[in-house]
Amino acid sequence: MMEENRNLIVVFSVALYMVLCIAVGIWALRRTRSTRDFFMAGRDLGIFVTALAVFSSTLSGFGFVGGPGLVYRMGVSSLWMVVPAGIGYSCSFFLLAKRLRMFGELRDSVSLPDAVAARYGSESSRFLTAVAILLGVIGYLATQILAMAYVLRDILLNAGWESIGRLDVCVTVSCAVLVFYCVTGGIVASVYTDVVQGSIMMVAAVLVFFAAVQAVDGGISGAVTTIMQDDPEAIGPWGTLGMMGCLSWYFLFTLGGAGQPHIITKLMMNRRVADARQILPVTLAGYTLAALLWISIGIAMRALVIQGAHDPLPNADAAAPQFLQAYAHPILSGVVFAGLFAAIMSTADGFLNIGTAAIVHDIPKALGFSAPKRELFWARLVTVFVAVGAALFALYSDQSLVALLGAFGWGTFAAALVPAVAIGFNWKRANAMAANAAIVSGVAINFAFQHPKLNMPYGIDAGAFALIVSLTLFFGISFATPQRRIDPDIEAVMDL
Amino acid sequence: MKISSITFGLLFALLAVVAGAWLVGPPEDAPSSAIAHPTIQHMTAGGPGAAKHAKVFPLGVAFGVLEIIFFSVCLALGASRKERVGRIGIAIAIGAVLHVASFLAIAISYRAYLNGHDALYFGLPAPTAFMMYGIWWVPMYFVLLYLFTFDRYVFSDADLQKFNEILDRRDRREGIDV
Repeated sequence: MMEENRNLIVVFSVALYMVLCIAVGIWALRRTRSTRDFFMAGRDLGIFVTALAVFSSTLSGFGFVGGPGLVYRMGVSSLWMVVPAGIGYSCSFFLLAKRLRMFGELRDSVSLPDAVAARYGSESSRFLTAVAILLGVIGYLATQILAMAYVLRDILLNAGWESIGRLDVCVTVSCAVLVFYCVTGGIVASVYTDVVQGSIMMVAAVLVFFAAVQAVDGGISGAVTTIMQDDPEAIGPWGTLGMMGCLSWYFLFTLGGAGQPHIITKLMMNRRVADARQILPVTLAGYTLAALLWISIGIAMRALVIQGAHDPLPNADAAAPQFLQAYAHPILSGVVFAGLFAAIMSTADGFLNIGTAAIVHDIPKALGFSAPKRELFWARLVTVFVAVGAALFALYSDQSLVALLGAFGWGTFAAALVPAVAIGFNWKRANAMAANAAIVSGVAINFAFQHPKLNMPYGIDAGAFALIVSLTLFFGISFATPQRRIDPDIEAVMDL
Repeated sequence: MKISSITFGLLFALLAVVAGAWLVGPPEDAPSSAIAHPTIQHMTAGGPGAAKHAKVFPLGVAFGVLEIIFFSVCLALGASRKERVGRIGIAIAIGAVLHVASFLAIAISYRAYLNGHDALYFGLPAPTAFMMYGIWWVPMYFVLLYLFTFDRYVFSDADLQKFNEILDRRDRREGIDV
């Protein structure tokens, strides 16, 4: 009976999650009384909440759909995005957890550009950081909204509800829920839905892992042997991409985390500086568990298709949805689909919040305007406009432009912000000119490499190349120009 | 030598490796990256691994070693105070050695894998096992380092006191009642 009602169970699970988001939004409304609450959760988050928010922000819908799809398509190659977790989070925490948190409290910062301006004493650095964030947000948000809508549409169509299984309806419904809890609860709602999402992901990933092992003839060894016999490179350490491509991903996904604004902004929100000590291992534990889903579904589906036990997929991103339909218990399937929705929404809400901060707070401040009188009201209003704007952009723009801006994301943030933020917050010789050059070059190089005729050799990721170049420029300009005076309080914090 | 100078040098070395990949040109009689799977749509294949990596394998090994050292230097930068690392630098260096060793194990066992040594270890061929159980897990060392040395080397009670004094100075300057 459960199998017959599989699709209804999935619809119900997703609907339940949406109701939960609305409830969190209403609860968070009472906790959101200022822009500090709206953008920084009052700098009052506990260890567990911060840790789950950090790892959930790292894994968007990519962790549920894109990741398994990449493993299906390329074999072990994409795991070079997963294995950096330990070293990557370590780099982020060693470089940023302490100083970013202290800068935030010292200057009562409500955004990353605020912290950058405090470090460099430069409104131009604030402005460029905000613009880089906004460019990334537009692309990321549009693709996340589309992803939510596609998932919802497929769920409704599978349940036989063709009348409402239209893309524009699904965009409207999913956006409406997103906007509601983001407007009412700001980052507080975002963070607590991250907690729900992270919890679902951890539990679901372990259950999916066991389901994947059982689905393939011979378990893990059987899957590995099948893939090896079909193509030894696919299960080798570099997958089908090759050594240089994989190692470039290792570089980008290790260091790049320290430049993702939707992730590192969370490091400004914990209650005490010393909480970072426990936040790191909890974050890593959550991420490691959640990554089991990514790895197991991808490997299982590749083996199942090669064995002939499952039809070839219509596209690589169908790996996870088809696995859940065919091999997971209906309730597990419902939980994971809800988790998928949660994953996409939690990344979207984080971007919505930092994009709003860039428009309402950072860019006006950089241009010399004082904060509007009712900043919280304007923050809520702009949240609506940004979400609606991104939704319209996603629905009615040239899809190649949406895809272009979506691909912009991780690599561009890494190249633009790792030098200025992760390195610059630890190195007194770094100055605003170097930071600005790194931000501009990071954005420009990543954009340039979207051109189809520009390719890196041996599959080397352009984002990794851009990161190396922007870091080199950052250090070079800092060494070549006179050291600037740093605000005494900032300098004192940098000495701690 | 200062951490910043070491980092700058490493960046030039990384750029040199990338430039090297351009200069050596694509492999002969093999794809330089993934190719379409011969029978299954939306899946890729790796092609002949030995030929694919023939020109670029030493560069790849250099790239891997350099980037691991770079990560470790970044950790040291984060742990430093006034560009001095202190004793935690020794612990970071030990972790770096272990990390590099894991990577070299992948590279060396990959050569054997290409020659047909495809036995499974904990369910995976040797180089992939070194990757999943080595490269993924060895850096947990740094997480444990952060956890167990935080109070001594990252943010001590004395640091907290100094930070509170900085905040108090700020409040007095801004006329806030301390």
